[in-house]
Amino acid sequence: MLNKSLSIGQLDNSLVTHILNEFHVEGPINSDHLETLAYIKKFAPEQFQYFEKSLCF
Amino acid sequence: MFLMGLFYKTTEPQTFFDQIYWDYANSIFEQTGRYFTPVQADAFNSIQKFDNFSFSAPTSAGKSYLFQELIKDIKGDIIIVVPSRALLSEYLIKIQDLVANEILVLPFIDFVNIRKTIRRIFIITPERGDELFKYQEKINLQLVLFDEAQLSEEGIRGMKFDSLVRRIDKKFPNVKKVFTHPFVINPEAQLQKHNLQNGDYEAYDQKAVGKIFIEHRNDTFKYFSPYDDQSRGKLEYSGDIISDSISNGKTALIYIAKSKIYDETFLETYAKYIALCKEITDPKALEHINELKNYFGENQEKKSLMLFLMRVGIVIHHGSIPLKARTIIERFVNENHAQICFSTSTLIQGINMPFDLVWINNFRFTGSEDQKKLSLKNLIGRAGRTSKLINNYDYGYVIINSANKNRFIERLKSDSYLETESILDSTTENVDEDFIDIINAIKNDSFDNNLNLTSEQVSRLNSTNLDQDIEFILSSFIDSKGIPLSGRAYHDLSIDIRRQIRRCLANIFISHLRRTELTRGEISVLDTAIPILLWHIQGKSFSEIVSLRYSYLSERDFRRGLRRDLKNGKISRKEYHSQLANKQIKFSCIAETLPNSRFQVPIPLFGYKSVTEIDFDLLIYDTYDYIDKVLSLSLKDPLSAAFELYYSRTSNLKALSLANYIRNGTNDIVEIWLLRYGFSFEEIEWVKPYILEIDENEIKFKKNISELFEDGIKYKAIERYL
Repeated sequence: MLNKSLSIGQLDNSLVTHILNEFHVEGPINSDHLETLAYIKKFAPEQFQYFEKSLCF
Repeated sequence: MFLMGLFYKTTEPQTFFDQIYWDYANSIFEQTGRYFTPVQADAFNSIQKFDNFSFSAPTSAGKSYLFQELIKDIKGDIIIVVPSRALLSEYLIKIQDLVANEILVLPFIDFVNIRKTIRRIFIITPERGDELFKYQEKINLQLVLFDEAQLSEEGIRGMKFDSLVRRIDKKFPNVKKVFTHPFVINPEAQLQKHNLQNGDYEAYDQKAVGKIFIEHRNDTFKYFSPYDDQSRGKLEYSGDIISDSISNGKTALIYIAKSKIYDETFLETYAKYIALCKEITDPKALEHINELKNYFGENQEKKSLMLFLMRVGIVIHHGSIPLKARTIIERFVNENHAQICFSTSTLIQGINMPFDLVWINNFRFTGSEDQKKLSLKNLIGRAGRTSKLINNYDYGYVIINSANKNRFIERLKSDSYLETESILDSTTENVDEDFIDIINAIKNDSFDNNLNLTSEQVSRLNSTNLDQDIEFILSSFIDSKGIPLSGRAYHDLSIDIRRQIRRCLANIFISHLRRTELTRGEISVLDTAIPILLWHIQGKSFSEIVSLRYSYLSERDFRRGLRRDLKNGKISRKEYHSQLANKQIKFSCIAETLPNSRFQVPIPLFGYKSVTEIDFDLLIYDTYDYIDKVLSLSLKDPLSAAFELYYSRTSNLKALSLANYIRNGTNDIVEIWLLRYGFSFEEIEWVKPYILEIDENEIKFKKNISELFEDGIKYKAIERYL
């Protein structure tokens, strides 16, 4: 997903939670979610660090 | 249940959730003995459980690691079938590093080093699969791994691939077969089309790397999403992402057409990015550059643009770069010395060279729509390195031109399928007559494995009276001492004799085909190939052949004479330059695979340029194409078969030696054995003096072999046989 708030680093925690939950159930199969995470890491790197470790599990 | 499952890059769990995944990782370890990702573990278990397993997984899913572990576990012999020689070469290096010296690893199927070998791993392209059936009684085959098995969809090569699968299933029914593909939705097609029993399949879709997509138009870069784009095209990247990436030490792959590399227009198009790359100083990188320099034979007169660019961290990668050079380039890239790689489609198929950024500036992909989709997805898969950095989520950039955006999104989002019916079972209407023999032979399993031709072709060679042609070639090519004619001596022959030689070779070549005449284009290719063949059978190295062609095409003798005249004051400097500028490069037809009835008219390699403008890189590419496409793939088998058949009829030893020269590039028994042990001609040159004895059982080296131990590259080449 790509939108303006992502590009200015405004992190929507519910979006992250949703992605992590979906990965938990389905595995990392949704390219859209992987893209969103890439944007979050790029534009909000500090916030991304909080869940980056859990993501790798 | 898993998040990303990248257990190899996690640390101790800190939350309850982490702990669950940690336990999961540990259970995988307990079961498999490795810290596999869930995808790797699942595939590993299925491979253990079933006789046949076909799966697909995206780039960066960790297939290479899975294969490595499989290879370690199997106790018997293994065959790995790959689609290209470039991928074969990559596998060869990795596997040789992975396994002990008692395991024979060869890029073809042969039984050598028997005394010191406990098991064997053969890495082959499907074209060399026939060799397996020669050793049916000897081989202890346990696993056949078909990597990038979507090759099954590619015309004649696909037929060859499918034929190999079926023959293996028929002759080795208990051997485990594993098929791997990137991105295809229906990997089960491999089991269906060959009716393989006790099999399973899985299309894994788990990814490890994120992508950010960017469109480019008129020096402007904008983010876009092929999935859910709410940006309405308004999110511009401020600046130039490619310049910024290169300046920040990141790496870029620029996918362009081969023609842009050949005509060097890419230098102008990408000048501003090229200018950002800094001169290489790393000693290891310089070592690679030096190795390549020696291999090409670059010097003050013969300057390579490819090497010039490499010295500033820019590499070029395409199918006409000699395989050895490509291997050096790939090592250079994988050791992070390259900042930009200009590449054509050769990089798509499986070669492991990830980049931070992939710019797709050529939207031409070959094959069916499904193949085009696969190629595109494979290329995108190169964007973003899967680092081993702990707790690090990796992502890469994919850049496309705005004009291709819609087609790009359409292909990216649509699924790619394999056909469920083998090409072998489909009708062969409208097939080019040159391919009918091979199609029939694949379908009927009627190959002559010793001569590497179809039985129909052998019978045609046998039934045509070629004696006069063969005798003329023998008397021209081999002297009374059995020494072959040199390429230079061939050029010195009278035009009539050269015409006659060409006519005889053309007669031999055409007699294995269904046609009775070659096109003008085909004859011209044959003509250019003859001196290269002669240099090749004289055992000249690649750089020597390039150098000899360079001298011939650039009229070296004329240039030297002119320089002498200038020195002696016979001509003025103005006259010297004028004569040099007016002297044209000799005609040389571009390399083309034979037979090819569509290649009607000869195409000059250099056009009508002055000898001062000869392009050294172009000559390297063309020479490799001649050795690879023309000599090795087109001429070697029919010509050597004709001489071997003549020898069986007449016992003429000259015919046998010429057959050996053509097939192996040598008639020397030690050199032939060394080739069978996997040594290249370049290696044979330095290793041969150290050979005491060599046969199928082992190589016995002379005591002074220890002299070579100091040289890392040479030691690596021989250590497996010590």
